[in-house]
Amino acid sequence: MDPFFSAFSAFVEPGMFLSLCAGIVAGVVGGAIPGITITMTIILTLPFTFGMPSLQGLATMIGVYVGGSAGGLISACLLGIPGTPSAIATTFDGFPLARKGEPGRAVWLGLWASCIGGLLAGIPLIVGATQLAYLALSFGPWEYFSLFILTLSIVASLSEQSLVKGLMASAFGLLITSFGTDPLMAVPRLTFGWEFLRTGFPFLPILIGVFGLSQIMSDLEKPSSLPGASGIDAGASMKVSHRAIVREIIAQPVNLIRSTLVGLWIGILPAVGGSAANILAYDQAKKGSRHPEKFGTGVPEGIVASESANNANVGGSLITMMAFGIPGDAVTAVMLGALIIHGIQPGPMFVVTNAPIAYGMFAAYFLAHPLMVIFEGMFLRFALKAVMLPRHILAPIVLVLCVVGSYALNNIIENVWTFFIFGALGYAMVKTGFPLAPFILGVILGDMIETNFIRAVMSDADWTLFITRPWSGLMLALAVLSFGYSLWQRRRAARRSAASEAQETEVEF
Amino acid sequence: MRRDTGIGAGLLVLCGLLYWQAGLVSAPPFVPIGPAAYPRVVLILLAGLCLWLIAEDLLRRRLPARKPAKPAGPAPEYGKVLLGFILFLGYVAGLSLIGYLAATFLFVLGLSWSIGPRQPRELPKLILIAAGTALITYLVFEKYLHVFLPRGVLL
Repeated sequence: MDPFFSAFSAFVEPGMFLSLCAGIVAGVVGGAIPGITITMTIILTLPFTFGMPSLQGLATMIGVYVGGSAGGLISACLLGIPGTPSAIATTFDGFPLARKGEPGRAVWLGLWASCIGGLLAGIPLIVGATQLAYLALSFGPWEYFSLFILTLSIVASLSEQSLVKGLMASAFGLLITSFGTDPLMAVPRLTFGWEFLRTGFPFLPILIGVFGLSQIMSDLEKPSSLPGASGIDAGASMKVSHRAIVREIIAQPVNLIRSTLVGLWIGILPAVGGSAANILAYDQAKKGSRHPEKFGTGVPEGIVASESANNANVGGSLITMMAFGIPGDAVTAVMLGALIIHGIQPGPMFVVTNAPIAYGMFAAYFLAHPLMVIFEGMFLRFALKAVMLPRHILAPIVLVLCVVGSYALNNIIENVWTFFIFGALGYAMVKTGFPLAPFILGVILGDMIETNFIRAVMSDADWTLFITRPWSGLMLALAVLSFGYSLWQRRRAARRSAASEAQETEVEF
Repeated sequence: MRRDTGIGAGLLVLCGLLYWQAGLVSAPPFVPIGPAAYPRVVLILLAGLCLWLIAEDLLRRRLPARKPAKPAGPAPEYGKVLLGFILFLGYVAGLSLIGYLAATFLFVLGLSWSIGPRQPRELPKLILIAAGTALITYLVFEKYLHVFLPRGVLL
């Protein structure tokens, strides 16, 4: 615990503290604006961190992540539009409560629940990430290979659209990393004689393009302009008794702890994300409530469940990222990219060999939560104004920042072309029902899968070791199970939908 | 041809092309697995998945057609998306030709005007926003963060 407490001293330095605060403010504002996701906000913040020391850059990003996870509740409660997908379920009760004339109570319930849920999830983050990292240190290339395959299979299976499209997106992501010099023997391949491709496609412009450009273009399709704060009295007071709000949250310990655990677990699972966490926690809160019929009318339990889960999800994602070097979601994928830019190799060795940075990240996570409450409270009115920015003003500015972010990676225009090409590809994938998360995970894990696969085969030509080594065999078995379960679930859903359609047809006749 | 079948077929052709390209890689001697092995494994996997996608699509075609779901809300404005892509393509090309400041000013003004309400009284505000975006990002990135932004014949 000593290194953890000493890590806090790093934040006494004004530069570190201000960067964390700036990250939180950026996260709150970005999270509050519908259409600007946390991923987009962290992408826009990324170029500002290039020139910072590693921990300062990562602390800024943690600030964005924590601030953004709670920022979405402002527009969810006051406009009825979730600022981010992580705040969808907050809208269900936050907006009705605000319309009942209690906007302050709705927002502050969410804010304090976010803070408490996030802080509770911080305990398993510190204990879990370190312990899992020590476990991962005993892994050989067989176990890593199997772990990455398990991760890909879970992500592809969890994709809402077709299973085959999820798997294809993963495979396509893996293929992208095959372009350029191979990671072990440094032999150029699939370059088509193009010098730029010798080093392969740079990861960050791909990520920015796939999530940034495709998101903006998808938003341009929507014909409606942003609705105003309908039904909310613009002059309504946001003042509340904080003691009463905190007491109200603590008075529902089962809901709070259950939602925190749901958020934490969803965060640990790679690439599922806060959007699933808040809805699942809300659903569990409703099922476990003594008055489920009141959900959706402005009950505090709904807000507490959704908001504590989405901030606990941050802690879960950080556990997976720090212990295994696997991104829990798109935001941690950008953070992994930032680690690489700063010359730090992600993976289990990260916590062991870069302990000051790892513990600094834990400290940043803990500090960010109370600071988030302070800043979000201070900027509530400003954030509400930012939320109302029209799309035709916001979209070009965001695109310019994405371009500069891609370019600033190593000051070459080819990165901007990569951003454009993969942005167009991302948009095409969205329109044709191919999920983005498995694709980007394939891009992230591609090199690591190849390296560990070749290392395993080179150190022992016996292929059965992938199955006979206990951890490796277990993870491959889980990968097969996850794939099989998903296949079975989809077949069952298809049969049920066919049966219900047949029933409907009979009724019509 | 249905959409998924078309995508599957197109990707199969791409897999074939890349498989052939991977074969052109010179493998260092005395290594059990050369640099072409991994891309080829991924390509075979992807090709298999393409066949699965095509088969699934063809099988779906044989099933009785479902009632088309009613579109919820107004139709998407794909014209704006196309315009957005064209302007953005022009912006990326323009960065090296006319430089960051001029290209950014023109892009922000062009995109905000084309996807906005297009009212002449909005124009001064849009010009101000475009100039502000170009100038502020230039000052922050070039002067403060020392990013050497693209230069061109203008600014």
